Amino acid sequence: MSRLTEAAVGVGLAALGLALTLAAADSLAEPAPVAPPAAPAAPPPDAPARVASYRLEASLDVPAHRVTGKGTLTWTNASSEPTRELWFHLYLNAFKNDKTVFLRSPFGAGRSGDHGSDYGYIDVSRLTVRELGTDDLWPRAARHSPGDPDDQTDIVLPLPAEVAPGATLHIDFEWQSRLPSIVERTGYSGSFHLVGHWFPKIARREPDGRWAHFTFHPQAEFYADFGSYDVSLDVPAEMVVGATGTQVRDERQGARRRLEFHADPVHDFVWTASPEFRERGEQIDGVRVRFLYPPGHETNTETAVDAIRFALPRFNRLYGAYPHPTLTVVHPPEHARNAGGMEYPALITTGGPWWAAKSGVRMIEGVTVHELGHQWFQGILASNEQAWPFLDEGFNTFAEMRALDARYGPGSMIALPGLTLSGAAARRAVAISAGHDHPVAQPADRFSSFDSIGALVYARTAITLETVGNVWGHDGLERAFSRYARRERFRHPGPKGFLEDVRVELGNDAHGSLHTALFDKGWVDYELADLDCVEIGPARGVFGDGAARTTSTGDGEKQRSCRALVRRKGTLRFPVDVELIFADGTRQRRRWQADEDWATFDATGKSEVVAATVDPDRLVLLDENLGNNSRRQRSEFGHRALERLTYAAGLALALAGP
Amino acid sequence: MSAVARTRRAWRAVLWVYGLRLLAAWIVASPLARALTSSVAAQHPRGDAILFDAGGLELVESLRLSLPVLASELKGALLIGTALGALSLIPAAVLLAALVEETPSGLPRWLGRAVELFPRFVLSFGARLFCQGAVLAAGAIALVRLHRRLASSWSDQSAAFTAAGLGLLVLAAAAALGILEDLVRVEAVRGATLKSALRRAARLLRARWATLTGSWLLMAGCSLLLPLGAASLVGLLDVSQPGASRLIGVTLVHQGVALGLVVARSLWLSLVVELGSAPRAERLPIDLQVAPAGAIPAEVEAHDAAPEPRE
Repeated sequence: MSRLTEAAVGVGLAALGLALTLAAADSLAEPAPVAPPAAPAAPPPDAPARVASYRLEASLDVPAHRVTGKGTLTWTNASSEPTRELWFHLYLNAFKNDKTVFLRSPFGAGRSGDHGSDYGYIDVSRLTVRELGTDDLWPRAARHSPGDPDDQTDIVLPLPAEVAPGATLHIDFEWQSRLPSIVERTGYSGSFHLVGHWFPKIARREPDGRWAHFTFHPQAEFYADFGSYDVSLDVPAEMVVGATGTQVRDERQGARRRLEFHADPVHDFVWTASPEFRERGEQIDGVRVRFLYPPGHETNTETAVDAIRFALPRFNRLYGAYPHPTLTVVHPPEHARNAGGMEYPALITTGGPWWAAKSGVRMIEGVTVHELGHQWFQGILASNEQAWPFLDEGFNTFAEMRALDARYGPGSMIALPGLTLSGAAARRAVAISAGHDHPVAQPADRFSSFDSIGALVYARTAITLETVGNVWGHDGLERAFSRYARRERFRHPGPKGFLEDVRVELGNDAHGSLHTALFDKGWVDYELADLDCVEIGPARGVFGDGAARTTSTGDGEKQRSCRALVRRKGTLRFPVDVELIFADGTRQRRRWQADEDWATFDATGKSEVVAATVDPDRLVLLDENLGNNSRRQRSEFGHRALERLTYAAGLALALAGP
Repeated sequence: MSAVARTRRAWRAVLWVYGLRLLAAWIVASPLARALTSSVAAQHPRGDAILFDAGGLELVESLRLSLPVLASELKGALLIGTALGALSLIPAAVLLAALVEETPSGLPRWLGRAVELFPRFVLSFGARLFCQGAVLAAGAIALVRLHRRLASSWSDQSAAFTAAGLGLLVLAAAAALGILEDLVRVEAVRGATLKSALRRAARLLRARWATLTGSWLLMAGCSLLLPLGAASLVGLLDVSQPGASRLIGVTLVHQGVALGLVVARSLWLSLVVELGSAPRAERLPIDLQVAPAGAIPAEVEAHDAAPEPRE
């Protein structure tokens, strides 16, 4: 080797050494980007991608209402963009103090309607990412939600290195959750615990690389990626535990029990524990349904069993098979009533006082079928409930309403002697009253109140769909739902796909009306504006010319010529029938496409039209005013109403009088 | 005389009370019915039959559309109802006067007696309402607090049954006040001053509490069962279907119930009258103990039953 060569080699080695040193130094400050595996296995088309899978171990301290846990999150960047951050939802911090987004308004306490009496929070004590070294990364996490120093439910964690699309991280973390008194379907009441939103939950990353992260707003619900959950729970031995998924182990260890659950694919995991629970099991349509209820609620449970026996096969048929081997139905005790009426994957809570099933008001049936329906719209389809609440709550309310109508008929909401009330009648009144307030299709936090969400997202969506089904056919609408629910299974759909399915099954008019009703505050009011009849005879005057000229005085048989004027106000258009009722008792129905704002319907004959009605079958439940749909020549005094009210007043006088 | 015979003898007064209550109910109900039927039913080809359709769509819509008018009419109806309720002390007094008298007279005499008694009846009615209100309010507060306390540690059903037990006690206390007022009224019709009527009523209530409670419960049970039975029957008649006969049938059932309630109350009051007037042994035990049988002169015995001088 020459000196020059030696020198060159020396310089080369020095350069290499420097490069290696620099590289090593760089790797200390910032790990190498996390690359995707060489050949990522594509999931089968109808299976969800397991984007966020958790393995959790937790222990419940009952007196302190505290859960201490550690776990591993296996997360894949399923988007098309790399990321340098992770977003976590620490939902339990919503109940940390009175300044959080959830609790700060004195006018709204979320769906539960009440503030809790005790506060709760979640503390992450350590978080490491195996692919990025052994350092605890949690100190790098933001201390509060973006732009809101008083809220800690939406936390960003900057990463020391980029995570490439398709790459997977193994995130180890430890945390402690302090449960609040029952509020918003999580917390404790006495020895009853409903443990929801209890671990650090990674937000969903949309395919385009946007993080769907948000603070926990009192009007909003949740959104997350699917994954498998393996959860080990350590609880006092006397606790009866129900949880998302299937119990795979139950081991007694002295005064404690260790239970293990497996759930897959789900996007959340909730569990409940109480020493008071009674238990009942039932195999329904291939699913092992487990009912947990407090003592004294046997009749309620029987009613819930009956409702699920009917609804589970129905929903399986309409929206695709329920994907889990088990379903847990929890009836919270009365003192924990705010835990009732909530959906989590494979676990739902019902609710109601112990006498509810005998009251004549179908609250047990209603809440059971409603929460069961969420297993599809929230659990399987898993739309973004914060951005498009109507895709879950609205569609599900419609599904519930149809199921209860099919099962219980016109008394689907109240069935008392002499009085029945259907879900459609009750929801219509609510839906119409709020129809002009907001569009239905908008994010949850843009509604002025939770009442507004109740009226628009729940009731108006259901009434809109009921109207579309009534007018264009429920069979077609069921097909549209069926296509949507099967195609978008585990895919977090937005509204477009369903609207297209409606177009395919019911046509452009149905699609247009549905779109206007949901997105543009669409409304309609049909009115029978006028009903008039005149007597006409043969034509009078001079007819013909020359020798053929004749004069008619109009003598001869008279006829009645009647005209009904019908109007359509508003931005929606549904074809309707117009019914003319004649004095001789005959009826005529004519179709009005309602393309125009008004139309007249004429009838001439011996018998005059004594009454007319637009939409006589009340198909258009979105009609703002049913009071102007009819006209009659002579209005009728309400003898029946007077009789009933006189009787009621007589009873009141007998009761309160001397 | 048995309670049934006494009630039968006062049938004109029973009918009179029923008729006046029907009139009062009609006065209260008419504006409400007008308001309720003015929106949907007035122009609908089926009239107000649609309000009784299964599912309640038209009923809910009528309530929604007529709510502002209905709310205003309801306030008026409550005012009128309260006034008529107070005035119905007169027919109540008429009924009692008819039940108490031993020699049958007629409406003018009962009415005269009722007008005479009106101030005393108003006073006892007001006092009873006040006491009942206080008992019910205090009971309701205690009930809510008890249930809240029990609910967190007891099972739902045990907490509810315990609270219901307390509720029953509260209702029993309120009912006892009602029974006491009925006894006072009977004594007042007999001519006692309110003070002595109250004393006598309390004595009778103590002496015959089992009979009185049993009879009152029977009357209350009938008064509850009658409307419940009628509700089932009326559901079968279904006035949402066309046909005046259905409406007539329902009216007959309902008015049968209304009349039945008046009859049940008359029977109860007759029993009170009987108990209050019959066995001397229970009213003056000391006299009977010290005096040998037949030793009390007729005029002394008559004095005991005679009306006291009015205050």
